[in-house]
Amino acid sequence: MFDVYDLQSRLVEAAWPSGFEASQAKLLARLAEPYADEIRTDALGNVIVRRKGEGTKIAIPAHMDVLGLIVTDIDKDGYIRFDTIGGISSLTLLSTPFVFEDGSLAAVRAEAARIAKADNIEDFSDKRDMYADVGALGKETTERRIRPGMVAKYATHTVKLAGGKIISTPYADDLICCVSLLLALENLRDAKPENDLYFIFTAQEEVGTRGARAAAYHLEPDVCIVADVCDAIDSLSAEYPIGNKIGEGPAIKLRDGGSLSHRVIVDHLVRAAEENGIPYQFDPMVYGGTDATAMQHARGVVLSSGVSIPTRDIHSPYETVSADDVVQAGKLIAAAAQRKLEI
Amino acid sequence: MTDIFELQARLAGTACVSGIEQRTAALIRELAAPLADEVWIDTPGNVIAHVRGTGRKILICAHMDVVGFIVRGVDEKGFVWLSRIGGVSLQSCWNRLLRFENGALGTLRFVSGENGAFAKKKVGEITEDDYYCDLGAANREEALAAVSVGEGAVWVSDRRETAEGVLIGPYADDQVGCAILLRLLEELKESGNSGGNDVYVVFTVREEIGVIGALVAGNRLLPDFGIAVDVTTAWDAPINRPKYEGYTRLGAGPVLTVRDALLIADRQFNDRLIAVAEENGIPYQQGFSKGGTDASSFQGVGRGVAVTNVSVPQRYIHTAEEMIARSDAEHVLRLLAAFLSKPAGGADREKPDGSDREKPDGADGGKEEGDIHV
Repeated sequence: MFDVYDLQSRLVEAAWPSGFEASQAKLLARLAEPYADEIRTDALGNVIVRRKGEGTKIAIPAHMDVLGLIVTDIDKDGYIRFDTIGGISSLTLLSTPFVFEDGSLAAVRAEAARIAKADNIEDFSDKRDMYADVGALGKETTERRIRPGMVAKYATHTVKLAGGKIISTPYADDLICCVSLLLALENLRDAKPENDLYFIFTAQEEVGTRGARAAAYHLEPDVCIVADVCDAIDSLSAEYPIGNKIGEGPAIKLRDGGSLSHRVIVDHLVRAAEENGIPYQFDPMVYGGTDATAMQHARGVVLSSGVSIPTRDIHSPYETVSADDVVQAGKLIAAAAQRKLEI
Repeated sequence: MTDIFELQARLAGTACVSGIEQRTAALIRELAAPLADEVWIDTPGNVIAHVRGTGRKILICAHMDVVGFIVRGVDEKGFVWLSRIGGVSLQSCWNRLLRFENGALGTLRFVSGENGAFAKKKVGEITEDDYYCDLGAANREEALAAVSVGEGAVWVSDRRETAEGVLIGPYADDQVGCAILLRLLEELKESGNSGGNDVYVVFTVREEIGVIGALVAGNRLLPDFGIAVDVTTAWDAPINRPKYEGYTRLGAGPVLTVRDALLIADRQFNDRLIAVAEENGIPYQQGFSKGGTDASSFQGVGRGVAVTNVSVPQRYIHTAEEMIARSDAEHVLRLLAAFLSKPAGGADREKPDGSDREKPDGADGGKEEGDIHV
């Protein structure tokens, strides 16, 4: 039996940023293998897990890439200049420990002059004025460990809060939905799905949904049910008032920043939830895109919706979700996947 | 022989904010007990380890408390409101994982405010009402079952030593000082030589909120010499690097303070320590800092005490990624041991406790021969 906390922490420790997903791809393929009819990794790095069926071809993507840093240069004193992979805010950069591929722990800081000039927190610093410090004692010692092109990720770990009901973790976006997919695969083990199912652990979502676009092109699905996180707005740190609550069930996607869900798919998900007594909410995502954005018009027409996990503080080094929402999402995805979908 | 960084990690595992040093104090008392002639805990909670001698009285201290947070209250939604202890820079606290005294975990978050009001604030305008801790609790009752008002909270963050011996992680300030002083007690015990000096090694409380524990210890012990072993700013990273060369660096040796915000160090005492360093081939730096340490608190007790700091240079003080070099910590230890191996001298000075005077302090209303009274 898969356990949400255990899977999430294993994925977090294995994961590396977009374009560098080999390690989490291998782990996911190994975990999914007992439940797959067919499993393969495409040229872009997407891991595609097939459960064969006669009916509608459904793609179920969850992205396995995560946010991070990439080294651009090492300066004369051994401090590291970098660019971000994916959207990390300045305040998050300056208050999060990072770890490089070689295990070097790093602090990100900004040059003094820039901090003094900042008018407000939003404008607090620009990554051009930032550097990563791995305990530099000069250029040569840093270069023994770090070279341009190496990547770093958040050096934070999965923790249980509130006695285990709540999980706070780096990269809930979107490893927690990779967990939902694994739970769904487990739920489907003895089922005979009435649709042709492609569970896809996609690459390079955070840099522009690149993996999903390639997968949709070569798989030619009819339908896309994306598994990603959505904003929970039930804490004081929420930046706008539109979104969901943690602990009240997975959220059926109505839209996101780059896709409109199709009524037929939304209704299909609602019926799957209601027939199986699965609690649900609706995800009205205002900002940001998902793999549905890319799949919807990658090739011909792909009707889309999704099963989202409400998440507090998305893109921070501790994103907070309800463990039960993930379990229910696994049930909902499985129920919707095996229930006959006619379009 | 215990490794300084291993000892630091063990102490940091017990450390909590000012006023909540009891767990660290108990561990230090246990570790110091076999190493000193007497060990006791005084009224404010300082741990004092005495290595007896007949010469001059020397107080060497490091502080046990760390910066962090304390619970102010819990609201009806179960969010925990905090108060800062010590000089924590709030912009480096965003999203940090906190551990409360009883083990509960939560993340520190900023209140977004209406229409992103928080992001439009100036950095200096952040107040205690702008941040809170999310325990994942469903309501006030659930939160209060996990934490209580007045409980301390500290950062939980990764800790690692590089191949070049740089330690990265939280709470080197000043658990490394405490570790160095425990090692110093070990060395004095092993060598049996403390130069005849009367040595008091003091692990102080409440440094981060105004050097309070050291003031009490200084007042009580009235030493001839005082040394605070703490961390001090290394000015070698882009975050604070000045335009001139010659600033203090990580890995370039112990820093003898020339001045900080609260202290101008005793010139003769610094010269003495420099001579000891040079005789023993120990690297050293002279430094300036914008902070303060325990040394300042008792410079003015009794008839005055000759004080200075022997510090470990550190980057990113009061964050969860403090950086110090192993070689600096080891050189601080060697310098202190070398200084204590010979009589501390100071014969040309009065004793701070007045015990070298014919009339004890306070007689004749404090008037003394030679004073000019108007």
